[in-house]
Amino acid sequence: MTNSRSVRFALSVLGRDRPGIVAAVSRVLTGTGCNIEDSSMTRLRGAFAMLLIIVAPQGAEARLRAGLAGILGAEGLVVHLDSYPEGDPQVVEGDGYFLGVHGADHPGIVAAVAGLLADLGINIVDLSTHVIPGQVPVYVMTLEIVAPQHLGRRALEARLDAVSKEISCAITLHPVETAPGL
Amino acid sequence: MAVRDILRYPHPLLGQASAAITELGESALETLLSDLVDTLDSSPGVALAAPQIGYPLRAIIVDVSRERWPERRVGHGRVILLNPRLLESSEQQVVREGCLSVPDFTGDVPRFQRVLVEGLEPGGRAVVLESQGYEAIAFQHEIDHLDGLLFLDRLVSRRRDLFPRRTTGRS
Repeated sequence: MTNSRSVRFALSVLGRDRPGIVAAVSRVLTGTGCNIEDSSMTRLRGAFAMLLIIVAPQGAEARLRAGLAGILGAEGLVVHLDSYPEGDPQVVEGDGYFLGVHGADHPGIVAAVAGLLADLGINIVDLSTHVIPGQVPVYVMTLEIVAPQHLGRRALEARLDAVSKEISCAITLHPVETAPGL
Repeated sequence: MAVRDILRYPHPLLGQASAAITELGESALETLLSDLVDTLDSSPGVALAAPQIGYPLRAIIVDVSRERWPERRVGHGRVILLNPRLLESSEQQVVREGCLSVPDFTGDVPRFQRVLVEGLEPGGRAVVLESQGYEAIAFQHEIDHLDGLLFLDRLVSRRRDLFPRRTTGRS
């Protein structure tokens, strides 16, 4: 939670991967009194990619920018710091599924699948795509989605089946097994 | 007889192994079990372990019939077990769990799809229950509590956001 003495930012760090980047970023954040509220880091095509939502003390922005520039700019990393809209986190309700898509790589796979999901009012809450190199490169996409409850699994499968044929990719759908009340 | 507060992580009791129930007096046992029942009944959950309400003793209550989704209600109804342990288990699947002691967070943990659970009924009779699905997950989760383990100790991945999103999963 931010208050009148703090402000929320989105911070992204991208660039050549090496051990110690997370340590360097978090040292700057700690040193300027920032708190990491949420973050995700992965490697994209072998490069370092991290997104963080941070809360900084009011008036710390200049020091934060200087610290990030000093440590990270020198390492050839691209750093972006943007103010982040206030407000409560958005809640997504519905049926959770894991969706897998794979097939020979060609343009339009993500657009076709995401287009269908958008048409059905389905929210993508996690997405990653990869290309497996080879004589025939293979595209692999995994998603976690939340579908409106009224849609139902059968209807969703039928629509995905049609897209699967259209883009010549296999599409699999698995419900997220949940056990919330323990 | 009382509704007790459900301890929240990082309360130290949730990280400790609980003691087997051997020579607990009848009235002390009665208090423990009625507190478990009363607290579960006033909670939104389907299962509780004694350490979650402040008793470092090996007792659990599981009652999937409280679940709002009918397909998850399959099982043995209300089960209270002392000194429960897993005898046998099947292959694992990854399940997205929540916990009354770690509110507003769910995470993915591996659980056996089917288990045999051995324990004592409150009257002292030894029982072995075969359980699967949601109830089997509940038994594993509650027995973990008796060993001082939370689902946080078994996470294989985490939801990308920390905020509660009630996805219902199975359809």
